[in-house]
Amino acid sequence: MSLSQVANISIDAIYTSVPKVKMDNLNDDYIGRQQGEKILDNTGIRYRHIAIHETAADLCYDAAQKLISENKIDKDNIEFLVFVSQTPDYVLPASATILQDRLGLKSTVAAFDVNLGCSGYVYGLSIISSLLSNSFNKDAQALLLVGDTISKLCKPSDSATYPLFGDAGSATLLVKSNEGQKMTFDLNSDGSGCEAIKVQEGGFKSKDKHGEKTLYLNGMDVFSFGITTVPKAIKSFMLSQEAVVEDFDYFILHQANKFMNEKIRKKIKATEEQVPYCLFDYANTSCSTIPLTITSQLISISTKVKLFLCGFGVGLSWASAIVELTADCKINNSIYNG
Amino acid sequence: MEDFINNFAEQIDETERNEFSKDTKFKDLDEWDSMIALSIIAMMDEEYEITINGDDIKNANTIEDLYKLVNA
Repeated sequence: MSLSQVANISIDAIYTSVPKVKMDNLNDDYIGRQQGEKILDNTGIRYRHIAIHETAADLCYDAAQKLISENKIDKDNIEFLVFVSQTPDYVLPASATILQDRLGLKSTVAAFDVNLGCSGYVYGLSIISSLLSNSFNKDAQALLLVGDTISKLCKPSDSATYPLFGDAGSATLLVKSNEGQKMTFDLNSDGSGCEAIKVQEGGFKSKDKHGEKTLYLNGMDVFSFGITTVPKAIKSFMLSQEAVVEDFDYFILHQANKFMNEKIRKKIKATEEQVPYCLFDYANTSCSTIPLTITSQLISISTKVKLFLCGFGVGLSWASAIVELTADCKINNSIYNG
Repeated sequence: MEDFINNFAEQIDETERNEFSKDTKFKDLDEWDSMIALSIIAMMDEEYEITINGDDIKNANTIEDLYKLVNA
């Protein structure tokens, strides 16, 4: 466990954007009704929003654009932009620099990409809040953009991936504050499990330069990891912070599938009310699941809420964060209208 | 062993308990699918505190093969 903490940084807004095209696993020729019902029973997944022409960067741009305009954010205060994705626009350059320009941010902004999946939102929060808290500018703000279009890597013939993944993008605005909020992080990695979730083609290790980029998922190995390593990590992180399950209003878990997530919920002894899901409507949206669960399920935050965030999966990589959202935090989920 | 077979049978709704023995080739059962495999992984974790992975399931043929992992 790699523990760290930043102080006096608050999350002011979380916006998410999902593609317009919505697939229904109960009415999909590739899946079939009976199989679709079984998938719904086991995974909690029915609908998937699928990006056709739009990219993860487009979805994040849409979320960020709405966040900035609806909350009248002074773009000149934005000093940091981090884009977390495994499905960037290009091999190079980084999508973050392109997003700096598209969003009309000043060219003195620090912008870069981070390649992480299911754990990526928590890693991204940790990276950007550390940068922000060390900024010389007392009015500095930071924009964390996290999104993926994993559906573009799924073959309709692969029943282990095609029915399970949807696409989404998110934008989170962080600001310096003097209200004493702390964000605490626990980041972990285990590359010995790298084969469990993998796209073999498209990088520079692959010999077949024209091979199709396809997601491979070893469901059994990921499940073993999910129900053992993840609850242990959650419990030891809580213990290290002298926190107990009852301290948290919500546990926002990476939305993998309901069967696995419920095992995790029961192991950490959280109540059903403490663990919201957005799998039914959005499926597994990779690194976007945590912000999307917040924007779609915690629709109105009327008081300060204490959250335990936990992302886990590809890498293998897993990360948790203890954060607070105040009633002033603006949250919004909308359909991409680029 | 009997206890293990009971726990195994509980993961499979449509086959009666008395149809299971230590020699049952579980992957030949009509209901066998990837979800039941996950249930078995979860059962071994919850009941015996043993973490097994996809290869363990792949390499096992009978219920006894899985039981051996508990005592390995």
